[in-house]
Amino acid sequence: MRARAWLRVLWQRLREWSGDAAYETYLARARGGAVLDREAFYLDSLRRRYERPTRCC
Amino acid sequence: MKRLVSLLVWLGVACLGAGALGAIALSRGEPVNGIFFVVGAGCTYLVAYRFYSAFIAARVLSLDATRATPAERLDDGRDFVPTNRWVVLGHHFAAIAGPGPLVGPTLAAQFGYLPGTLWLVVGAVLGGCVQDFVVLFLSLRRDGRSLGQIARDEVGRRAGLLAMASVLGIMVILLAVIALVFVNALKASPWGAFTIAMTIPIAMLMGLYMRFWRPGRVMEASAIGFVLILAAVVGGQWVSRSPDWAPVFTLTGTTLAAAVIVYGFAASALPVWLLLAPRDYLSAFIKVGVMLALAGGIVLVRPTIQMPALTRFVDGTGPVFAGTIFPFCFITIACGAVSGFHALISSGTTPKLLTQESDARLVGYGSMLMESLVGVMAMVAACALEPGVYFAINAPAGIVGTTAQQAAATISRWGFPLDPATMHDLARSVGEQTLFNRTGGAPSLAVGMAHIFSRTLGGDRLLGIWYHFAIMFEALFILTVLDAGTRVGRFMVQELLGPVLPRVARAGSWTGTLLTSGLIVAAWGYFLYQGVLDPLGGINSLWPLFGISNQILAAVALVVATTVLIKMGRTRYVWVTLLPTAWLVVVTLTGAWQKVFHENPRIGFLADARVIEQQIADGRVPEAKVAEARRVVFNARLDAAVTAFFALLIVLLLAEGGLEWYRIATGQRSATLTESPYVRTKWAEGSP
Repeated sequence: MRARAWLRVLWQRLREWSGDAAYETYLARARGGAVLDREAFYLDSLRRRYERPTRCC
Repeated sequence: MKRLVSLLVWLGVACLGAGALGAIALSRGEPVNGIFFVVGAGCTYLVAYRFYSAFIAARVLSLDATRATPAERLDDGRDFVPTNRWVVLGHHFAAIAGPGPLVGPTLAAQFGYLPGTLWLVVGAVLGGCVQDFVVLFLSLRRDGRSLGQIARDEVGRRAGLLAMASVLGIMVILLAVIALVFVNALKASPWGAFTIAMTIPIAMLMGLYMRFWRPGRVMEASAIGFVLILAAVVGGQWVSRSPDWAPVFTLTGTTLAAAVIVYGFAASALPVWLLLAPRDYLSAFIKVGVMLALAGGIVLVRPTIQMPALTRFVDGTGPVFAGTIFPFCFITIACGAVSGFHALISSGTTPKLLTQESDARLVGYGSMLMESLVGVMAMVAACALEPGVYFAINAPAGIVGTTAQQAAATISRWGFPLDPATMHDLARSVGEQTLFNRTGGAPSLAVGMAHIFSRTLGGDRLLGIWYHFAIMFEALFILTVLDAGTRVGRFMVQELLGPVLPRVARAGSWTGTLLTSGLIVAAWGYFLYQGVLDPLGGINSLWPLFGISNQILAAVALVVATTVLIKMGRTRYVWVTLLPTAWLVVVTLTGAWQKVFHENPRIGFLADARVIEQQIADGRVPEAKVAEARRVVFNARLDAAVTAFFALLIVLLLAEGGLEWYRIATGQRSATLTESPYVRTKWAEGSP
């Protein structure tokens, strides 16, 4: 049982690390106003992400 | 009692580390096992993290766990998101660890295993980790501002400009040199070229999947991409044996350079969701997976180190690149020890994700330790090769000769016996036409990794697959850095041109996008092209230039950090940042001076230009080659000017920083910090 809970946490962390859970995080934090749909959020996050150095040598 | 146990455990770790490092440092002639490197470095990192980073966190920076971070105060679910610290550690590590910590140590292995390994460990603990940690802290206290903005706010407007100029300069040289490593790895390699060519449609398919079919489903798309990439690696073997397809993918250096320049332009100008982002996602997964696999492989296989502790090339006559151990070992290994580029990541996305200020220690100091360990593993993989094989792969034809017999005879004369048949068999077993003169570090690292992987899984039967998997892994994240770097460079050029050409700077302007993409690609593309044409292989001139520029950026970041420490009233602790700054300034200025003025034409750019010019004047260059020789002369002078520019940058920034320190010390300038105001975190004990 403990192993299952541990694996669930690991899976969630992996999703957060990879960006897979980004939209759910955004929805959980969206405060009022217009909320972007999944596609719009994805495109917006990519645009902002690659305006600055994201990968090093 | 608990304290005593802890003390004994840490004493044990310290003794184990000292023993392992002592074993590799004092060994002369007797075989050393690769596991000593990992244990020695690992224990040193643990002790440094436990004690030195704790000292910096508590005494020097006074990290305040009750202070709300930008992620908490400005939480918008998009840029500013409080994130689990282990997730941020993974993000930050994936961002900072690129081809540098793999290629640099591989090239520096020409001095022997010892100098590079010690520099990786000591440089990271006292320099690189400190820089990453302190810059992350500075940005964290300033709402995630960038290094350039912090330099402008804390040191002065000129310092901000100098920081920005050095960032743009290093970007151009970095992109050129990694593109050269890419070209040299895939030259005359149909298997490798096919695999990498296939990553483009695979990435585009992933892009379409995440854009239209399943928006933002990164894990699903990456899993599909990974399976397809593995199929491409395996399929590459068939292509390399096909009489019809092999010639199509057997490309020369100049063709590959042209292809990568066109690719860089397209990736910069195309929508980011189509090519750049999916490749980046895939590359991050493969990068972390392969690095973990390499660590596991070294532990399982425990390869014996074949390279001596020190080679005869410490005197500066090395075939991989010319120059004495000081300063060139310390310039060649930048990433893995001290890399200025990390300051851009530490003042980029990472500070906007930290939930607690105290997490900066784990993420800033800890992830750089992990990158350093990657560098040590690359050193192990390179030094586990027979030295003769290592030099045959990494030495350019201009040094060892153009035929297998000439190269083997030259390398054997150096004291590293090599039979041409050994190289022939090795090339055949990894599915390459030849492994001679494959400069740039990537192929020799791939051979080293393939040996470790194949001894773990599959044996010699899978050596070719593992070799090309390693090449794909290196090329994949080189292309990712190339994509992302060209795009960021484009934005920087747009920003610089903004005041004079507002149309170019306007967001969404196609003219601006095409013009600035063209400018940045032309800049790194020129250096790439000169590297490909260089008779000494290009790495000899470009890699030191990259190391100098990268470490000058690190010195810039540390000067800014020192200024802030003085303003914080921590003058008694400025040695923490000043010591690595002083070292980097001495190393980079010595390196820059030698690269410009050294009398040896293999080291000094101006001497090289003079020698070739004299050859032209004496009529020793055939008429048909005169134009090419004149271009080499021009390139050598251009490289000298670029090196001098980088040296001037750090001298000016030191003067600027020194003046600011003097003004603060004499009371002419108030020590006002530009930190965001203190807000108590909601997670602090006793908070409402």
